[in-house]
Formats: sequence, C-alpha cells, structure tokens
Amino acid sequence: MVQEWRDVYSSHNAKMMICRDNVNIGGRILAGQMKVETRILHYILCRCLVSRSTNLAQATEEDIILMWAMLTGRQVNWGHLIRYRMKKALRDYAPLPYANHITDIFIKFKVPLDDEPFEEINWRTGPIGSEVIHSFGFVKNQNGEWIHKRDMLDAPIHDDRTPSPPPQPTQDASAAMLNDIIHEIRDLRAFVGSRFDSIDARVT
Amino acid sequence: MAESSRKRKTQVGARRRRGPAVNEPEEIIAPSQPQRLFSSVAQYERYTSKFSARDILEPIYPDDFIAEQNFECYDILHNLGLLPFLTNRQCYYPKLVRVFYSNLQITEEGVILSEVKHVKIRMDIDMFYHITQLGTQGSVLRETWFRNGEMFIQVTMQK
Repeated sequence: MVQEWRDVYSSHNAKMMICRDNVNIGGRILAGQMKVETRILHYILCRCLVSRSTNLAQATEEDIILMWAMLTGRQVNWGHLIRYRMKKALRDYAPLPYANHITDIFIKFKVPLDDEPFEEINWRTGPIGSEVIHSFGFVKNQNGEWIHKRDMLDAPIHDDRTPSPPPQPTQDASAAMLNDIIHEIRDLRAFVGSRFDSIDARVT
Repeated sequence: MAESSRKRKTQVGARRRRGPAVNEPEEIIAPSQPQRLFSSVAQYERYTSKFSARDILEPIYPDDFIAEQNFECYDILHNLGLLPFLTNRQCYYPKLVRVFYSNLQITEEGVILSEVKHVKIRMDIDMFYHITQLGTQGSVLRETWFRNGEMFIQVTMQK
C-alpha cells in the first residue's frame, strides 16, 4: 500500500485533477482555481472532515493528497484522521471541531442532557447547497453545466455583428502573471465576503 | 467575544449587588456548577484556564441539493462511505463540548477517553466506528512531507 501510493502519486497530476483547465497550477492552489466538483469536495474536506477554521481558500499539500485519494477511490482511514484532528484541537486556543458528532457520543454514554443548553445547526450557514456553490463563483449555463463565472467572462462572445478585433500579440509571461494576480485578488475578496457573511450569521 | 461577554456578566452582577436584595439565580447556580460538570478540582481548573472560552467550529453538512444536482463528488463521498458522517444534523451542546475536550485523551491505540458530568467515556476504535460510521480500514496518514515537489508519505495499515 505504501509503495503503491508513492509510485502512483504525482503532485502535478493531482493538481491537474483538481483545477480547471485554464488555470496556472505552478504554485499553490487556490480554491478559486478548482473545478466545481473538486471545489465542493475541498469545502467538505476542510469544513466537515478535517475541520479547520482558517486557510479555507487554498488547498494545502495534505488537502491535495486527500482529494487525490478520494478522486481515485483510495481508502483513507478517516476514523484515524478524525481522531488525530480531535487530538490537535487540544492545543492552546484551537477551535473545537465535530460538536454535533460529540452529541452522539453523549447519547451513547447516556450523559444527562435534559437541562443543558443546546444549539441547532444554523439553518442559513449550515447546509452546503446552492447558495454556497454560487458563492464559489459557479453558475449554471444554458446546457445545465456548472461554469465558473470567470470562464464565462473569458469566453469569446459569439456575435456576428461585432467586428473582429485586430490581431493581438501573444500574451507574454508578465501579462499572464498580472492576470493571475487579479484572479487571486478576486478570490480573496470573495473569501473575505463569505467570512463576513458567516460572522454576521453568528452575531445575528 | 468571550471576554466581552464575561465582562458583561460581571457588570450585571455588580449592578445587582448594589440594588435591592433579590434572589439571584446566577449566584445560587454558580457554586454548584463545577460539581455538576466535573468530578475533580483539577478538571475544573483545566477547563476554566484552557477550554471555557474556546470557539466551537460550527457544524455544516452537504444539503440534498448536492445529491439532486448529480454532482460526481456526492457519488464519491457515497462510495467512500462518508455520507452518514457528513450528513449528521445533530444539535450540539457548546458547554459540554468544551468539557468533553477539556478532559479528552486519545491513546496511541486510538482509544478516546473523557468525562462529562461524571460520566466516564471510553471509546475504542470499534465503538468509534459504530458511532461515527467512519471506516477503520485504509491508509493511515501520519505525516506527510514534500521534497522537491515529490510526495514522501508515511502510510501504515491499521486495523
């Protein structure tokens, strides 16, 4: 098993599986660069499975390995990973994960819960549904496919009435880099926006 | 935020002490609180110093929408047996969650030990599986390193 993972895994190929076709996968992988399927998978991975409160907008190397394993049908010992995550939460100031699963443990061990204050999962921010997917920047096109807004904007507009633009010189490396930076700023803005929404939801 | 709420409580308490003598439920309940939740002073002190103000990660879950839209990732999660864990919509008990973590120990063998409201919790791997429905088979990711972009991963098999 160990050898099999080592032999087959390639960071580059894993990133190719995760990211959309037209993005630069040279460096770190931002959530905004992912396909709709892998974007949802990444969100579930770092919010539900290996829950964390920060660094949600980019894929860590561990995220990439875990997503690769999931996408290729490899079994990870999730029970072990989640116990490991619980152990990590004992560090000073770490937020505490799996609160709803701990309720099941209380029930199993008959911890008296009758007079204890409890909270339901927030109906607005709890479900990962259409609002969350739209917040990732994906919309459905006329064919019913989920497309990233950026890809729609980048796509050429087919309109016979529009005169053909004059031939442009091929984009050089600095223009591509500028494009990447603008995309990353957009990602960051979307991420900060969604964080404020969740803070707002908690306050209200 | 927790600090400001503590300050608020102190101010309210101070105002009440200056006012007319009334039965103050906080003051009656407060002294019994440690005994109600903890079975030793050491447990209580650990809780108050390290866990009482901890943030709790708000639980979230994949909505039915993900299934209805026929996303491939939903099938992946289904095939990996992760959906029962992910779709758990239980309510949660913030204070007891903090107490649970405050008393938590996880042994090298994966046994979870804790104590909440005088109830001792001892959960081995099989019981953890029955409660969470998370598989006990598969590769264990202990440490991961990357060297020059190549994965150097230590994976071991565990029951």
